[in-house]
Amino acid sequence: MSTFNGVLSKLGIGEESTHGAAVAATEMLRLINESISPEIARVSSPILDGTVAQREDRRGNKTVAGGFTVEPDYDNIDKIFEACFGAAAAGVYDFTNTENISLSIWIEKTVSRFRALGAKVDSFTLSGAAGENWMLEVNVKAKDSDRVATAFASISLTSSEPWAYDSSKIRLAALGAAIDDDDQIYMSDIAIAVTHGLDDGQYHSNSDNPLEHLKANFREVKISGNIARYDTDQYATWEAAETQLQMDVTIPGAGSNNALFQFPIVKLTTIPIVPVAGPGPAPIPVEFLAYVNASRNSDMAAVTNEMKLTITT
Amino acid sequence: MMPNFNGAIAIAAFQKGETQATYGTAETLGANDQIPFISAELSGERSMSVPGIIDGVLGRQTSYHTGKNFSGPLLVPLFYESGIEDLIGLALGFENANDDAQGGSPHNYAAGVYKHLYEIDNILSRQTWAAGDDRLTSGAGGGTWVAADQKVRSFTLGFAKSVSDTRYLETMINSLTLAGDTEGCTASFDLVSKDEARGDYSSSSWSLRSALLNNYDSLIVKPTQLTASISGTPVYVSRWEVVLNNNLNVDGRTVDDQTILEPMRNDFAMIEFTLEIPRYTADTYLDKKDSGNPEYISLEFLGPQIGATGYYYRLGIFLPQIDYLDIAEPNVSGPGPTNLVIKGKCFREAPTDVPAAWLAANSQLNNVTLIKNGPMIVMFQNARSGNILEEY
Repeated sequence: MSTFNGVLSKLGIGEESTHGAAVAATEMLRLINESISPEIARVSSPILDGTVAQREDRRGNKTVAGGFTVEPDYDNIDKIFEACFGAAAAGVYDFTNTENISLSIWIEKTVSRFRALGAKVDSFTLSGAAGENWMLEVNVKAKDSDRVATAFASISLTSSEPWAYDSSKIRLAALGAAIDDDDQIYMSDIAIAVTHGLDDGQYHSNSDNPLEHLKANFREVKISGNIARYDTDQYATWEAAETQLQMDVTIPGAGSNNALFQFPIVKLTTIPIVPVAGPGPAPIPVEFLAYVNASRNSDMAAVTNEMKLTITT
Repeated sequence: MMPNFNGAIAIAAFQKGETQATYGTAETLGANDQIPFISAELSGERSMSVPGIIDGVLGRQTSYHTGKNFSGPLLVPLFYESGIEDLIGLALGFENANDDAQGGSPHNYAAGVYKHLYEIDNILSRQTWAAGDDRLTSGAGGGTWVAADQKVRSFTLGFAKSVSDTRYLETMINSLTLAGDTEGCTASFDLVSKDEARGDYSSSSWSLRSALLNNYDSLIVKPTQLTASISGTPVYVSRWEVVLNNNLNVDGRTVDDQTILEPMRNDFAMIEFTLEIPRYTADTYLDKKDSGNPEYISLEFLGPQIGATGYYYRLGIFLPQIDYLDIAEPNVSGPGPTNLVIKGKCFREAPTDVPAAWLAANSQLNNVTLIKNGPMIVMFQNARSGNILEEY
């Protein structure tokens, strides 16, 4: 008899060729935790028939949703970033207006393997904080789930390194000139959140599983965090003037390992008011919304959408 | 010197309403009416009207009471025999009152050994007790009831609090939670009462039942005495809970009376359960969830021998029909083990019978004729001879 023990867990993903049709995992991720859960709705029948005992509920539609948190690195991320962004080519990840790929997500639980099938990324957040590694939190909506005795695919993590926040470089500047290291800003923490806004699930006759979740809203790319030290009112000035800015985040690793996030147009969306929480220095809370380029930033002409990720190794 | 209230020396007692009493009658509490308890948090709510009278003055002129509600939880430890089993029977509402020879409850196995089966009744407010109304003709196997007798499920509840005695009239049980973990087993009653009064109600005469005196060790229900089963297969749990919600209507009132009308059912009786398995070691229960097949559950406690009779104190909670098990996915939240939490709702599709194993000779539900075809049955086997609906 095997007993589930989280220390023996692992998570792998595979790209499906047919939505909802299980495929083997081909890419293992650096799992921290997961919360993907199937729920079966109850359809009650409160008919009155002279007795206090209620008639049975019926099993209704099945919903499979939740998320997982992994540590991104430079080598075990190609399929997951393709699922997050939509388009992937030679280490470049970009958004697309077409539907993103479907994944079979395998989670080792010792007793058996849990699979989420037809899983599509609804949102993802890359977050970093001083003294920590970057984290990638992915939320999915799936068509179905099951548990199998089939052994996990013989995949393993390619030797790589996590993204270190303390070696990351964040730059922010007004438009008009290419961004450079003079534009560096120093953030104690940052979160890059992308929401695709998939539909909640469209059900139909002859099935308790939903149709393929489709993009049902505008995409939103939000960058938030804290500038480590309040020593300038520049952010308040930019916010008041609705100034269009450009931003990039570079996460260098050993050798040629590098991850580059580029945002051609961002604007502050909250007034960066610094609270007096106590006697010490204070950070500046900031939040940006990213926009498509629309030829407004010629220095990032190759970045047409709100964000592009380029990973080199 | 004025007495100070000290919870450690408080006393609780109850007496079921007399079978011919009208709603609102206070019963006298006395010997054998005391029950052990853990906490009692009944409170009163006063409703009042503050009319917005416009008379040239901004301030409020008057107000007056319009109603009062008394409700709250009573938490008790579980015993095989203490009087608390009567409260559990009153929460469900029915015990077959025919003679033992006609399948009535309790069944007398031997001198001093009785098995009680409690079932869920359709009605919990006062009911007439006519022949054919769940019982045979009086004297012909139906006991010795008379036409004026009623099924009464309410009771007078009292607390001695040193400063004074508090008495709650016509208390009924809106919900019952039977629960246990590795530390102990409890019953929690969500009560509603018609009225409350403080005074001297002779609490010095309230006493525990003689069976419980000096016999706590034998009569307290211990977690290690539990055998839990799902569809006949033992399951090893770290926590269990069964909740019966009677969904009573508790705020009916007429304009001439600040107290509530006798509560009555306002919805179906809802029974839900939770079983927690400490380690995820098999997909058995997750497979049951996927299959959606009906299951049945029993939680049975086996206590010590009743005297030297060869029979044992027993408590059983039987749920004959769970439509499907609902189990939270055991997610990977970190490097440690995880548990499985099984939940479900209890139903009863007539003519679903109780499992044959439960009716085996001299076992759980045998020897007493079940009448109500309900979604929950509770069994007590102890030395107590009375039927809760016949006793006053």
